[in-house]
Amino acid sequence: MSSDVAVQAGEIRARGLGRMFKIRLTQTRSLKETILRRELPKTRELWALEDVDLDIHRGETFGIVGRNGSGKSTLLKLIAGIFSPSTGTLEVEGRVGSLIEIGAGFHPEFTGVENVYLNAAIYGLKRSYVDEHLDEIIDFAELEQFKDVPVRTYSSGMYMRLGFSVAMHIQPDILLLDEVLAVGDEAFQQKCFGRLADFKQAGGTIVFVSHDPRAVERLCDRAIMLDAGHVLEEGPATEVVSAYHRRVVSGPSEAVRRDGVAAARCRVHEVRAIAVDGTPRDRFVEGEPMALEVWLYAEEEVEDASVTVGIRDADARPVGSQTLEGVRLPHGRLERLRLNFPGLPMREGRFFVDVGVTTADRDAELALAERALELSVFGSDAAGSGPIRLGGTWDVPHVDGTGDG
Amino acid sequence: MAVNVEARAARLPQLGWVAGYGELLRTLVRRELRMRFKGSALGLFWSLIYPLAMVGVYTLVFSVLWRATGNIPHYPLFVLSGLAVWGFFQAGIQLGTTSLVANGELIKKVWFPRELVPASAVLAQTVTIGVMLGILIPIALIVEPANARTVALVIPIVAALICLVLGLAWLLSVANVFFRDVEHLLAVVFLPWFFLTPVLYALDQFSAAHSHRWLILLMRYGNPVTPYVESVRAVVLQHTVPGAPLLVYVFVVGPAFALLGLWVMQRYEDRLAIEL
Repeated sequence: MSSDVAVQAGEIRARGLGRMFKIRLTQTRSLKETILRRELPKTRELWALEDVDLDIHRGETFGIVGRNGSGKSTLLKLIAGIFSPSTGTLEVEGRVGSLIEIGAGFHPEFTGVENVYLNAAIYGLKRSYVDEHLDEIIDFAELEQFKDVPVRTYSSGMYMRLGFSVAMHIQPDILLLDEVLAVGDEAFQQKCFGRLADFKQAGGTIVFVSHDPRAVERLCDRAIMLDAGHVLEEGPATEVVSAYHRRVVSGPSEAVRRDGVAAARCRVHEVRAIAVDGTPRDRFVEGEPMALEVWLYAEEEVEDASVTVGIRDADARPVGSQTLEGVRLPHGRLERLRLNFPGLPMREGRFFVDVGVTTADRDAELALAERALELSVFGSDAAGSGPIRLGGTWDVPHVDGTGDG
Repeated sequence: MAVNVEARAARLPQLGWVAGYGELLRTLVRRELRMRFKGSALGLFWSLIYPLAMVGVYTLVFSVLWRATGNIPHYPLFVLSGLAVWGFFQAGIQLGTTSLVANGELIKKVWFPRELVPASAVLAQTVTIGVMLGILIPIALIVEPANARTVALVIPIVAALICLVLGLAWLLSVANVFFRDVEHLLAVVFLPWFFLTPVLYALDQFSAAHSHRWLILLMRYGNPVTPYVESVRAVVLQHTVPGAPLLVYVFVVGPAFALLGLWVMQRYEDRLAIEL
């Protein structure tokens, strides 16, 4: 393809990578039903990942950020080889150690030691190699006393320790890391980070996925931000993470109801603060009249939605929220909602506006835009303090004695 | 050792994995065996007691009481040889078919060639047929020393049988992932199938064999396991080399099923992790 140079061990190269899933809307699981039903089961195509170009170099720690459902884990699973691409090419060279899911490649009925052999064999290692390193692996995982009991009795922390230990001892060229490290206790996490630093030092490649952008910022050299299966940002980790924070407009989010039925697609297109003269602004003076404008876009009609506008302070503490029920969103059109404030209720500081759209029964989140808007408010009343403008007017006794006092 | 997804999506069945994943296959077979014999000290013994008890029962009913087996010499050995082949065939296919679903957790989370899972279930079953033949062959040699001339042929015949079972296990295990009732269907099919297979009787023994030649031919070649039963018997008990048609069938059908199964397996491999 577009490969000028062959991919070396520890490198990952993707060109136009895409992965489509067919979502079955009607669940058919039996042969009889398939034969008796003449029409094909209804399916919908969902592109979990589309047109992704990626170059991850040897010795690099590469982060992937994005919200739930943005395609992060699909990308990891493609790199791990669990799925194959629907379009494009993906070249992964070298042995890939994967810590994507806790207990991956473990058999619950097997003891710790037996699982070390199983897991190592999955990675293609010889039994003799494991024989040699078994004590080391068990030691590192701190499972000396539990090595001969079935892993189904393990805690999630123990699972993680064993998985990490095996993955680090199989001499991988590439290590895929997920949220899993968070399961361990503080001391073990430190040990893991130490080990990861050694791995990196030795020229190992790490691909790290997290919901926690700070962890990505701390660990990674470069990163990408995924949204709805597309790469939105690529560059130095700090820049990508701040772009992720800055994102004013939330991308479309695929809502899934708790009962498993995919709900309609809808997104928060824009959130603006409008001053009294009708112009959008993001700096206001305490008590100034203003309005918050929320622009919503629905791909499929939503009959009865609840829209919540919440305000948080700079430390992410909620200041207050307001919900509007019974909102109807026609499909394919931008709808504007306006929340009017006769006087801005906040006092001095930086504030963030979140907008959430849910179904009427609040069972499914249709869209969520966190930190959709940042507001700066300047205090005007030196006599007040705290995050909100308490307001109120004093009634005081007259000093000249003519009052009712 | 690279994960090369492109190469695996090729049209023809790939065999390269055997070299790279031999260790994993061995580990999975060991695991399968340990799971089966776990918790019972008598382990292997139990898997033998059942066919041996059945040999006793069939001999009592058909040979002693019914006297229906007059022209079959050494009837208990005759039944034992049939049960060895059939037992492996049935257990291999049944356990192979359910293996992908049973190991769903492993398949969803890590990548390795999926064909190893049904293969390990089938290969673990070879232990039983091995032990049964290990009992049968020495006795057969004692009662009829002439068997020594042909007994070595049992090795390639059983190898071809393993290919047949592997192929069917691959095919049915994939089908079972998409339609979970395949395993229930199999459970129903196996009993009549057993009686249509010449385990308790010989096809040529019937008086109808001459008047209904086509029926005998259908039962012999329409049922993939029958030629294996007859061939194993011929070389182990009857010191004869099976006829050319039977030999061709044995060595063509088994490997052909194996290749077909492998091809189907590798074609649908990608969808397994999603369906499970």
